[in-house]
Amino acid sequence: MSRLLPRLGLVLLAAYFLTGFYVIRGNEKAAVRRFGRLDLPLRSSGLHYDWPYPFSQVNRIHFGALSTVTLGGSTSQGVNSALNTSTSASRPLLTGDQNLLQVRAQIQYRPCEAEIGDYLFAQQAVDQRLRALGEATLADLISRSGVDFAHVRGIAELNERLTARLQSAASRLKLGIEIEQAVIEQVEPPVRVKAEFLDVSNAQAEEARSIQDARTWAEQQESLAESERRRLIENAAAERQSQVIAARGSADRFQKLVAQMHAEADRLGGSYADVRQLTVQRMSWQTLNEIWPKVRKKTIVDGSGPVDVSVFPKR
Amino acid sequence: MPVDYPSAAGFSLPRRIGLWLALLIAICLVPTCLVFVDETEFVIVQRLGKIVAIYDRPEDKGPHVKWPWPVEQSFRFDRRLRISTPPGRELFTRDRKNLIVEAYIGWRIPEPTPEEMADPAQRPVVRFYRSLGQADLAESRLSSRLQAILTAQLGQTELSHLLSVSDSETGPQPIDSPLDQLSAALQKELTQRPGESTSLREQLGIEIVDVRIKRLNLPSGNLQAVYERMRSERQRIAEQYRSAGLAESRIIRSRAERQATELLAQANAEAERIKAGGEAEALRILNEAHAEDPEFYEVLQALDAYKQLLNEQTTLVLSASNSLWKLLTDGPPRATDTAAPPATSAEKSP
Repeated sequence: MSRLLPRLGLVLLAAYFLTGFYVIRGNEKAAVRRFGRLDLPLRSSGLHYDWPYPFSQVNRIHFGALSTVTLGGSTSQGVNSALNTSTSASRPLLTGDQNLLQVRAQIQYRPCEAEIGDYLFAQQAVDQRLRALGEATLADLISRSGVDFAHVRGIAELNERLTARLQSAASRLKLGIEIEQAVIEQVEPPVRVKAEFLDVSNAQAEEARSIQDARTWAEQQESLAESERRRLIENAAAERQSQVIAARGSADRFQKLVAQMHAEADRLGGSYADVRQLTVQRMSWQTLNEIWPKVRKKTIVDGSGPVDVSVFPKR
Repeated sequence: MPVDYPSAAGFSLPRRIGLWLALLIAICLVPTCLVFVDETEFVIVQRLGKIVAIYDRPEDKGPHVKWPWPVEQSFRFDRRLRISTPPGRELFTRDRKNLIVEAYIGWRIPEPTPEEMADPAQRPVVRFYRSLGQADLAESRLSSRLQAILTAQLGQTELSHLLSVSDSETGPQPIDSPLDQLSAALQKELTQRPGESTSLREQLGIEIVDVRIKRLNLPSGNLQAVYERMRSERQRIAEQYRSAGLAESRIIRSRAERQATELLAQANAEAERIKAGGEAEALRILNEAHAEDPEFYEVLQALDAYKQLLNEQTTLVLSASNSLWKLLTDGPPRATDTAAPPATSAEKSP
């Protein structure tokens, strides 16, 4: 018994010192505090030994891992995130024109190796501080925005501003992290006025549709007018052409008659006037022959006085 | 034959008990002789109630020795920044509008400055230890102080200054934010109020690193009115969109109608010009041809007219002096006499 106790003590002591071994995985680095003081450089992956607890403490950090802090929601994820969500986080935010909006955003960050001291030891919980900073920045941006800007068309700009301001603040306040990005995921009106906001969206769609319909109609009208214009021009050109052709035909007929009369005059050795007289007579008789039988009734009256033509029967 | 070892290496029982007791006491007391100052802590060592060592500088981190307990005792203080978030309270602005304002405070026990190093009593951790001692007490104190300052500050600010956007489509302007200004004023007063002779650091050993308004909200009693206003505003905006769409579509349609009418008028004019060109050309051609014998042309025209005018439906009433009658009775006239068309009265029956 008297020998057993020292041996047992030695075994326990050896086991205690064996707890100083630790393994760092390939995607991690370790910060070792020996007797409370940070011992740099950071330990890389592999098997290491240091004094056992409480003489040394090891913090493993995955520098490549993105952690996420959610604002206005209920979740918080990441290697270092294990926070309770404030009950106020789900309440709406006041916009600059005194409307209310439910805003949900996410901040993604990763530890900064060059500022590992700040990341591990400068604040109690970096994600708690980042959450508070993010909520304040978001509240400020929303309080300076109109409801339609924050709700609809300004989200991209707000994302950029939120990211830039958080990156600047993280650097200035020495949070020991790099902000990858901050994203406003969801902006919604409160449930009690959601229908009215939806109606505005519908009205915007109706406005766009009315304008689109009018533009389509206008294009149709323009197209119809253009086709009508072309039709009119084409018809006019055709009419012009037909007039000219008819005139040429008529002129040719006339000139051929005249030429023929000249030829006849030359052939017969008479004057052109005589030939024309004969031609006119012949054509007149021919015309009379054509039209006289066609006329239904013929009445000849004395041309010395006025004649009341209404006395004649219509048929 | 068993070997008869001398009991406990020859020690008598009382001596053995004494040895074990000494070992036990050593095991218990030796750790109390060591002080490891962590990266996250400040440590104060007291000997019989008197501060004999303060480990609050960066170079103090690491192992230190002291007399064992109970001669010397160590007290540890978290040096990391803490975030305190006092619950939001309903406050009134200068124009008597009520708001719920939530803020957070980032605070810590700071490292001493070179001036403070000269006097141990001036060091922030010592001040904190003597005035508060615990972080919970500090948070409670800061919370009530913040509420008082916030009430005063908000009472000097109009709501229209905090929320000054008049157009719902407007985004944040590149100007100093009213909330940032309010936060800066809060931090300044939280550190040292105008009537105070010493700062919070000198009073309590606390440094205020960051104060920000993290939420503005309306009391639940006001929400109904706000929702009603939002509803009516949304309805107005929806109507604006619809009327704007209607007006724009009318403008587009009327513009299209006008353009179509103009286009058709221009087309008609162009068509008339083309036709007139044709007529002129035809006239020129005919005139050139008829110039060879205008009188003969007149006769031909008259005969063509008769052909076209008189048909099966026609009742012909002729004067005895009419040229057509004369044509029948006297035969065709000489070409010079046929220039004038014969006077006839003709009725075309349907």
